[in-house]
Amino acid sequence: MNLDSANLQAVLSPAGPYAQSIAELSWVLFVGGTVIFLIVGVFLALASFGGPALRAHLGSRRFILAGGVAFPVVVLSALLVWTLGINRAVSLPLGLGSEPPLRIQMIGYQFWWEVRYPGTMPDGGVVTANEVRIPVGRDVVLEVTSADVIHSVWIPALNGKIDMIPGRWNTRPIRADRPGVLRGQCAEFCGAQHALMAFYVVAETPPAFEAWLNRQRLPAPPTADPVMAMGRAAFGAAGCGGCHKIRGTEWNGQIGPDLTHVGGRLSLAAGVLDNHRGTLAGWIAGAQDIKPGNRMPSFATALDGPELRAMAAWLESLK
Amino acid sequence: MSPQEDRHDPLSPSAPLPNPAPRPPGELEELERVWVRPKGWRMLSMVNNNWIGTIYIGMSLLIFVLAGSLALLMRAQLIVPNNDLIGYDLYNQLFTTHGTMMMFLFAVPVVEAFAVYLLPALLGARDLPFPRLGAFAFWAYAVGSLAFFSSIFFGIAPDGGWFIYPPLTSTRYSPGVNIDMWLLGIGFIEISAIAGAIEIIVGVFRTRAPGMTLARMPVLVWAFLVFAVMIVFAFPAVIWATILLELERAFDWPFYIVDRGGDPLLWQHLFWFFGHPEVYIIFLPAAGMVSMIIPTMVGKPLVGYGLVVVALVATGFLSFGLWVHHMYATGIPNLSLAFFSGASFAVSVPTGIQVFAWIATIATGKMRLEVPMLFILGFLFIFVLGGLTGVMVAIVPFDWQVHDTYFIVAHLHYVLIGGMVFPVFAGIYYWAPNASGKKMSHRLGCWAFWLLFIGINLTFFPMHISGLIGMPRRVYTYPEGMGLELWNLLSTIGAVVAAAGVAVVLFDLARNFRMGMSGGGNIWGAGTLEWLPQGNYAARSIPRIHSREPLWDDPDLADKVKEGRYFLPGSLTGRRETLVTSPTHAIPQFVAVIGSPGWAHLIAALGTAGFFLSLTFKLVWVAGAFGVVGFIAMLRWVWTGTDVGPLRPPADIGGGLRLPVYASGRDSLGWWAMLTLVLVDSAAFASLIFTHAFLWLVNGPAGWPPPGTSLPGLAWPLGAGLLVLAGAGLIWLSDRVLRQGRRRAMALLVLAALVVHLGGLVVDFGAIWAAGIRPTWHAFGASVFANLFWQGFHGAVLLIMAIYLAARSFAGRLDPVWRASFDNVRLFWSYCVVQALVGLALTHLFPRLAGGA
Amino acid sequence: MKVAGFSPVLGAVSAMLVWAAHFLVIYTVQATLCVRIGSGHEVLGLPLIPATVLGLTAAALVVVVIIGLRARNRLVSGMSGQEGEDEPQFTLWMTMAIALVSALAIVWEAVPVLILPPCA
Repeated sequence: MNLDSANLQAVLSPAGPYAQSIAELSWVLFVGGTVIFLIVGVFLALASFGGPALRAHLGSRRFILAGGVAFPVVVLSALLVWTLGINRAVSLPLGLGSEPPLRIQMIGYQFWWEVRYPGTMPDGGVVTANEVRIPVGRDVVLEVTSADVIHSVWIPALNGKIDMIPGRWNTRPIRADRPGVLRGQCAEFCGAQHALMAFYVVAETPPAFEAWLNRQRLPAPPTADPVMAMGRAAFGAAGCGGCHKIRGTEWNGQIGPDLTHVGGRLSLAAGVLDNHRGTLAGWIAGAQDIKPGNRMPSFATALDGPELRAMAAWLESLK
Repeated sequence: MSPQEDRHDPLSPSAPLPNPAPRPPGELEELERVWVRPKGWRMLSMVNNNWIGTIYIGMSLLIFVLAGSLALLMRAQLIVPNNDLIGYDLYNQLFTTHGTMMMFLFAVPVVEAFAVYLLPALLGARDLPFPRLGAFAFWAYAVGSLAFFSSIFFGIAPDGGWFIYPPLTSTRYSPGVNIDMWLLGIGFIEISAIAGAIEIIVGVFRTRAPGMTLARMPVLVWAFLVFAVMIVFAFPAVIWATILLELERAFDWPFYIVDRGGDPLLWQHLFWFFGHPEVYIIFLPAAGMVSMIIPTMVGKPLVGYGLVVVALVATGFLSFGLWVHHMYATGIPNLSLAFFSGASFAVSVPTGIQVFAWIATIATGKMRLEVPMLFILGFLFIFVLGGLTGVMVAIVPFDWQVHDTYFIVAHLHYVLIGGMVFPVFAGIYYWAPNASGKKMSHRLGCWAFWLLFIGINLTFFPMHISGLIGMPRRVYTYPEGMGLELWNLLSTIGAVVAAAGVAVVLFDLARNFRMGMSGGGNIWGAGTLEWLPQGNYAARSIPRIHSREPLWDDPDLADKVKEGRYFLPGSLTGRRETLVTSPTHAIPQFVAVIGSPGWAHLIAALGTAGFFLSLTFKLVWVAGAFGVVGFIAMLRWVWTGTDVGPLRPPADIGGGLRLPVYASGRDSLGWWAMLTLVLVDSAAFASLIFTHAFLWLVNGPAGWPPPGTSLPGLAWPLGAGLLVLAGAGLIWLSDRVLRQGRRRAMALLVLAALVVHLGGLVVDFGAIWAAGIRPTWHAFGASVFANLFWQGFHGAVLLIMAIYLAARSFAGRLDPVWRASFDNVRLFWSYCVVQALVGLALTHLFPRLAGGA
Repeated sequence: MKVAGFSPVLGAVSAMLVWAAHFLVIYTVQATLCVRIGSGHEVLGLPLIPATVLGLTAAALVVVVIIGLRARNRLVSGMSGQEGEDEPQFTLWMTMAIALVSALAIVWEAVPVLILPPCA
């Protein structure tokens, strides 16, 4: 996937207050570390090449106690107290504004992400995959776990990472200050395709977010177009519904991502491909070539060209 | 009355030299005959520490090169985004094998190898206390590590990361033998590391030259000591974790499976309880080397010796409070994380002390820019930078961003290469002349240094940046357009430059290093004992020590040592001996007979290696055959090579000091080794206790035991405990009987104790089985059976020991004086009794008191 | 000839053993209480977990200070600040210096309870 911006996934390009705090902390650490590094270097140079009087000072126990004990104790004590405050600030929701934080659940699978919005529908909530939509300016609490092995959610522009561990629910608050697209990635080695397990975060204005949520609540529409109908039939004939769920249809698979609104997502295969008709067809035909070892088989031999194109067109229409 | 004041005390500096010159004819020839190294193909049977140590260092360097070449393959794959040079499958094996080999098969062994080579010389001892054990550890390591490496050619190398976290490494997600290769291969080599650690601890405390008080030990000896003690407490945790994972994989005991009450975090706690100390286990000896080389290169003693020693000891302790450091992102409460943050900050203070002590020492003298000093300066540059990023990652919120990214890859390589590889290379250039009598090339050394220094910085500095712009670790590819291209390209170029530097070192070694104690003498003008003239018997006579730099204080020391004017200038028994001194004051106590060349330890090493390798491939019968061969070889080794008894009456070692040539009980070297082994064992047992407590916490009191499980009535464990105690009583009685010289009665009592002890274990097992508890149903049952397994394993060891004692008494090798074997078994037996009783309480009382039973 | 045993070595590191015990106990107590009871409870009007941790810390510091002072009093050479090469001077000096490091580590480990919520 070609992206223009180099700052989608960068620690020092924060897009929200939590990451902002850590970025500021980082800069203090980098500058402070550089200064201490230079001081040690200067001492070493003076110890090697300085005048006799100066070297007599440097060659004493007092110098060791000053540089090796007193200095670090003072600096580290201050650093400890200061950073514990930041630790507190970035690990709990800020609680600004009247709205309670938005809950979003993320569940890790080898090698993709299920994303749930609990309480957004009468029988549970909106379920999507490999993409997290959030409203700008509101605290969001990510609640994460895993369905198989350990993964880790990492959205550097919003906050630090949090592990997805089977049997445990972990939380991490995030918040975006401005609309835009950010990238996140799995940070805990999770097997064959750990490298290709990414996702996008789309931060939108609250009205745009509500509009998106409303669209997500709808089931997949019926289709009258013959090509679309052919694609839908091919989906059923190839057995896709055994793994995938599409609300509004008879298919209720629980193994792969929910495809009810697959056409509206930015990427396919967990951040690996752009999402359009061509890449959809390519992914269905050659999932094992694009992302070997993932759980979706390649359907190149099971589907002929027209079926494949029709299925891709139908899926693309599910926005 | 201190020894210094007394002229009649042979240890006093004012006393005359202990032995007159010239020495009697034939004494030196006898010493040489006793210590001769086997020639030709019989060389395989050698045990001399100088030779084993040198080959050991060579072997670990080979592993370094092999593991390093895997890294070059990875860098080749990452040179451009979306590269398809190496597939995900091989790549995942590459980084797992690279990390595993560098940590377990290079970093720890190379330090043990240096200890094997240097320690006796530094202490003025003739050899390590257990030369055959040292050789065994080497052969086990050599065979095991080459087999482990070869697995990459067959596609069966481990592929779950060097930390092999479950559940990814459970049979469900990793059904192949790759993970078993890690569990059995590495588990086995850890045993070799522990054997080495025991040898180092006993050597440091008991085989120092007379007068070498604790405060006169070279700093490197302190570092080796702390290193070895840390291994004793850290390695059992990972061995235990490994046992649990292998039990889960082989027999479906669910320690880490959430659905049945297990928890993957149990693995992480156990693994990192080993894994973080491991970093300091690797670093401390290297720091010790720096504290040796700098004083020599500036010609002045180390400034702040005591502070540096305290720093080493404090680091050894504090590094055990850091393990959750690697688990900041696992969702553990912030306050818990902060405890570990505090310990991480505390551990950086001792490191600061050492850095400033080195700078202070440089300031006191005139620095010679020889190759070892160049590497030390490079070490300071790289290590200080890595240390500073270390403080950064100790800060929880910062770590949440950079954890598992290339920033960490950069940090850990700065710390390990700066903190360990550069000092080791400095050490190679510094001590190579000690073995070969000739300096290595200055010109090549300078080339190697600059290539390595530039290459390492060029490889790893950009990784800080690629991590910060979003590159996670352990990815076989990365997308274009995220700004990662340039930094990865630079890293790959740097890796090639660094590899060229390593190649120059190897070339220099091939051209200029020839083993053969040709007596180059004190080439750098150092002050410590390893620069005394050395033969295969180490120093001709063992000097008395009155300062930290004896060679600086007494310019004639080397000559007087070589003339045999000091202690023990020959062989008293016609066998290999070393002088044993007291643990703090180093006052001579006795002369110990130590092992000589043989085949049993070699066959035992091959048998053990074959056993574990065959087990990896589930070749149970082949494994059994190897096991039997290895076991018989071990028995022969122990029977013929240990506890040889009082070969002669006490003898004069010089200056009127008459020392016995045999000791049993608390004085003997074997007893100290057994005591250290008991510490290893109790560390493993503490991991077992932790397993129960942790899974209890995870499952909640109502889930421990899980509903529907009932424990056997308390009468059963009570009966089992009484039987175990009865066994202990019989052992106590057997000691009384042995003192009266009734050997056969002693043997019968020991065998009776064995029957009673094993009876106790069987009663416990039977009661648990009858109560319907099974290991596969729930983590509770698995933990209970892990306890049974552990007690049963110790019961099996006691079985062997008891029969061994009986056999020795019938063979006339055990009597009221000749009884070190008995005393050592008694110590181990006492431990097993305590362990069995605590184990019973853990299974039967703990769930009743704290759980739902 | 008097042969000193191993106890001076244990004495020298005893303050570190106190640190280890303190570390283990506060970590265990906090983890167990959070899972079993939660953060709400109070004892004598103080929040349970911080009060327990601080109490344990005070106790550990007292022990470490006693270890350090006893070593100092036994040091024949007094507080010259220099370690001797003979025994028992060196191990006593080590005892003292290690007590200082342990005290620092104990304090740093206790600081977080004043700043962070006990269980979140």
